[in-house]
Amino acid sequence: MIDQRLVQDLLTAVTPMQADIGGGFHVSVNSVEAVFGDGVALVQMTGTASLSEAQVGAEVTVFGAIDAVQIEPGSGILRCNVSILAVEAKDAEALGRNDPVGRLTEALTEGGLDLLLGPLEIPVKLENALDIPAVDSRRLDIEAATLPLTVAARKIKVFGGKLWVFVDAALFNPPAEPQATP
Amino acid sequence: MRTLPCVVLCAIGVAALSCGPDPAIENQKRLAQLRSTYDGLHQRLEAATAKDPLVAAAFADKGSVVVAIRSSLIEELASNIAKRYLDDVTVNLRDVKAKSKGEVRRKTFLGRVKVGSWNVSVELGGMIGDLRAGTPRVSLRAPNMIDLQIPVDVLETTGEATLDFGWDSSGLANVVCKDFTLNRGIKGRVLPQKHTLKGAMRLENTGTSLTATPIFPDRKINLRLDLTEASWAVVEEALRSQNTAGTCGAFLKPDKVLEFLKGLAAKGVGVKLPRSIFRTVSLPARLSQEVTVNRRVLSLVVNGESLRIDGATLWSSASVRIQTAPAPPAQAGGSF
Repeated sequence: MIDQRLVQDLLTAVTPMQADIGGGFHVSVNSVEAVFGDGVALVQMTGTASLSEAQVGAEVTVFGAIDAVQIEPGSGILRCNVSILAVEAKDAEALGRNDPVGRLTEALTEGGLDLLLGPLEIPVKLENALDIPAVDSRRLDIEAATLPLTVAARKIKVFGGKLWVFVDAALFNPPAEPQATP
Repeated sequence: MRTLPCVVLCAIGVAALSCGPDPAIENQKRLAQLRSTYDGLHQRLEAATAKDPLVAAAFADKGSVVVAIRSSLIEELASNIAKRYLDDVTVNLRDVKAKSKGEVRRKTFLGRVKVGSWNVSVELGGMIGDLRAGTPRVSLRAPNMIDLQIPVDVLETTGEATLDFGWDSSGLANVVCKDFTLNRGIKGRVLPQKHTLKGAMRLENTGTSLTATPIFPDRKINLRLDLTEASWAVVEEALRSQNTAGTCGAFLKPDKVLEFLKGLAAKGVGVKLPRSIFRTVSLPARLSQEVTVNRRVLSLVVNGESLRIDGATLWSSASVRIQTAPAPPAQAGGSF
């Protein structure tokens, strides 16, 4: 269970952030707010968006939500997937004609958010094995053992300012080898 | 003439617009309805979560990360750790010694007097104990203990041992009897037997990890031993060799000594298993002191806040704060 303040602190620590997000847009984020309530882990990013070559831009607010959490296969660390919920822009005409907010939203949705935000890791590590050290002393000889585990993030729930990550964990039991038939 | 239908159509259109629902008002109504539904659902959620012991327990922890592990998983892990760990343990019995001593008294004209004392010592020099654990009984105990009862099978093994036997004459017997010592290499057997090790694992929250530290204050097992038939014959022969005039073997009565020694072996030798037989293990849920956000590595300070067993769940929490300003971002897919 992860408190919204931790996610906010992590994102604030890397703010400001900026990137060319595709579609000819450049986005700078100056402040981030994480609010986990009512079923949505909202990540609200406020800043400016501009056309790449333009001197002026529009003030934008990008509403994202953590909608999935995965366990990184190598490190076992939890990694959040953030999706776009909505984009609001003041003075959107600074972003060009023909539904500029729609095009900005599309750019963010199609990989732009990843360029802007990058990975968002949660400092929880779930290992897929439990190691028991060997003992090799004067009186005792015990071999080291490793118990393989299967761990998988099953679902998330959001309420009360917390992100609840439900993880399935069990000892891994390899399937029995088929019996050789004569 | 042609303008008339057009005027009529326009009139109908205006009437339709003026009589139909106003979209703005409809939207407001719809929004109000959604807000009402939302408030109702929210109240139901709050009422339901307030009654839920799991949610109440979760909110009782103040840390920024709370980890909850169901007791069934802890029990399964502890059981497997104990079983797998003690599945094939070899205990070297080199230092183990079995000792006993006694006195021999005889009736004389002066009454019942001590004629001597004997002592026996068996050193299990080349012997080993081969241990196999069965399926343990595991139960969680608040606030932070896992109780374990581990059945241990000791398998039969044989090995070299040394027997020392000494006789020390006393009083008048000392005048006529010589003291003697016997030293014989023998072959001992550890008899197959079952024991139960009782102890616990204490769970601790170090901040970055949850550890289980074994506490087994009573690690002593009574190892029942025997000698091979050939070795008993060696001992018997050695004792009888002293049953001569000039030595006090006659006082000893070799048959009785043999019987005593066999009883001693059957009673067993107390062997204390080394403390290192149990090791501290870390549970597979940890808190990392480093995360990557926006392609920048952040160093974190993680402090354990709490750990408790509450019903069927182990709860632990930790506070996390950012230690250092992040390094500049690595080159992302886009240009900055």
